[in-house]
Amino acid sequence: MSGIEVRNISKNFGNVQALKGVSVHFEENRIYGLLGRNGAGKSTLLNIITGRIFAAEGEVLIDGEAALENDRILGKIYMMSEKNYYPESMKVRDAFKWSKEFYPDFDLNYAKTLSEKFELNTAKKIKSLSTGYSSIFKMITALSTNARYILLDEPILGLDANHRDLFYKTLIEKYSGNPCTIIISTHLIEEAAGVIDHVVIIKNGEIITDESRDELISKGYTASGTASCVDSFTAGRNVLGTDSLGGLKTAYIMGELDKNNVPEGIEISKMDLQRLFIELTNA
Amino acid sequence: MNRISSYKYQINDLKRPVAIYYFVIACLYALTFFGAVMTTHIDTGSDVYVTSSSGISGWEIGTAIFLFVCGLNSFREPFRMLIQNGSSRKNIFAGRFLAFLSVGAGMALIDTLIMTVGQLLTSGSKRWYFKGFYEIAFSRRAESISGVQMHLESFFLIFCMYMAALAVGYFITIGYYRMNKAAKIAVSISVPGFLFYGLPILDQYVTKGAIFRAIGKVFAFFFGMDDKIPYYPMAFGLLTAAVFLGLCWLMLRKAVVKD
Amino acid sequence: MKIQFEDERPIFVQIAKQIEDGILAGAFPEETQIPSTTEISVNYKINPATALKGINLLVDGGIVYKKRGLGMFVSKGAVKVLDEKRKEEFYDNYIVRLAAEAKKLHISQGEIVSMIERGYDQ
Repeated sequence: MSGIEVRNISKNFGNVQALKGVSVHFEENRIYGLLGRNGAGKSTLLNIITGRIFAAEGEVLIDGEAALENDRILGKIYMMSEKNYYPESMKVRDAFKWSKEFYPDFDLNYAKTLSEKFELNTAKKIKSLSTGYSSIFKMITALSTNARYILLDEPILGLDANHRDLFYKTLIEKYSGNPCTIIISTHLIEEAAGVIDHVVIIKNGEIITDESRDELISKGYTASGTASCVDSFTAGRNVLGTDSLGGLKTAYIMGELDKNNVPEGIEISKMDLQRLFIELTNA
Repeated sequence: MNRISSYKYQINDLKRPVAIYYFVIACLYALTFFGAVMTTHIDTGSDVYVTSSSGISGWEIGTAIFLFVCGLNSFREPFRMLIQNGSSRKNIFAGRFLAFLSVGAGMALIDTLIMTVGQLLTSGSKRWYFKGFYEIAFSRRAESISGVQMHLESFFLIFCMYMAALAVGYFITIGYYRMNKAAKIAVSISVPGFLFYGLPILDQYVTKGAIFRAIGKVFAFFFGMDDKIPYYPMAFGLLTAAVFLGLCWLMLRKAVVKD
Repeated sequence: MKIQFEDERPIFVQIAKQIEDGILAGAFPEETQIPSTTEISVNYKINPATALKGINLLVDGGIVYKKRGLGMFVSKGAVKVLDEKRKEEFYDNYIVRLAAEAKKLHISQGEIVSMIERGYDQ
């Protein structure tokens, strides 16, 4: 089976259970949003997939083969994470050259073009890059590898608004031209919402959501009105959370809604992905 | 990632230090030569016959120490870089091993050549000498066997020494990487403490010198000082290298990327 | 050209509508090419699959068609089709609601007509 198959992965750090029997299938040629609060287990999952740390239980298969300690399979994956694992005294352009050595499909010209676009000085040493440019360097490297599976853990850390805009456009352009699987783990949900195909939400080491963005969004809506109206409306419905301001109340609901049968005094609106995420992951 | 890339990357790190090392050695030789020339000239004024000799001896120990330090620096950065770029730990170890082999053999070769050239230049001279480690440790044997055999044995002897030095250095650095903070402190204090204080004190008062005598015997045996045969130290060097590299692998295979 | 993520309608529907607007406004004349899925997705910063869904809506509606190897082109007669469609939508969105609201407020049909005439004079 193609794609990344995570089967029953468990991981604990001392007494803390970071992942509890997590299973998920990242299919080919999709853009995934891996969402979760701080400490939910996103980075742990990504680190296990790429072999940086070991799972206590379970296995990861990539394109049907076990990924653990498998050089050929590992060559299909590239992850950029918050931490920088490149030698600090290495220059950016040398890092690109080494990436070409390690990933034969690495496109040096593309890396050069992107560096110019983002105004990244490739003669600089990696340690002298600011947080933003460090992210840019890692992102350019990741996109240039032409790996089948590209994992981006907090890719827009430190990027200013202009670069963020450019990042999304670059990502889409690349994905359009060379389809691959991209997994983005980010806290900036609304910005990424447009790009994401499929949403996976981790909460307290477990996967609570694993469906397409469109489907997920269509299931959520908000109902606003006076508190009493809202309360009677929400009876029997799956309410994720509520917000109150004086006598006015807003309820965040997940489920079916008959749009033609909305009572007086209730205003229905769509719930965006970020609000959905917040309500789903609030304790 | 394939073996070749892993090898290329890990040997790349060693190129510059090795070059610098030989540059420094060359400077040291030049200084020695100059210094000797200077002092002889000063003496000649009073027509005193200069009987003292000067030269280079046993610098291969320096190379061994240099390689030990190289071993100490061979883990953390390359490990992180190679894992980041899709390498298995097996591949990292294989590349590292081949890099060590290349550097160990390469420097052993260069050092043997230096010794050969140096000996050629100073042969027959009473004032200058150029002695390799082998010549010093096994001087009698050196005289009794042919020059070619001596050079071959010397090359192999220092190669084994170099591999052992690299392996021990690598072992220590991986060991420290794998240890948590408490273990690091414990080891850093207790091991030197035991070696330099605990053991001697114990030996002096309890065993009355028996421990150090035994250690001395073991060393003499393995370094061939007893029998004046270089094969024992060669075997000892290779064995040390093999054992420590084996331990390195056991530690590497479960190493995780830390922050 | 902006998508409202808070808008009721799914993104791909909004994309289709924006292209329809463009066709009606003359920005994309009949038998000319419309932007590719890549251009659309980059511009709106959305997933290319979503852009494709939007374009497929237009294909299904006969508004655009695919020229093999070249891209998507506006169909002949698309403007007319869209005009009709928009008029129907206008009736559904405005007229039906207007009539319902007017009935609620007890406004007669005659009064509505004179109100409309007044509106046109503005």
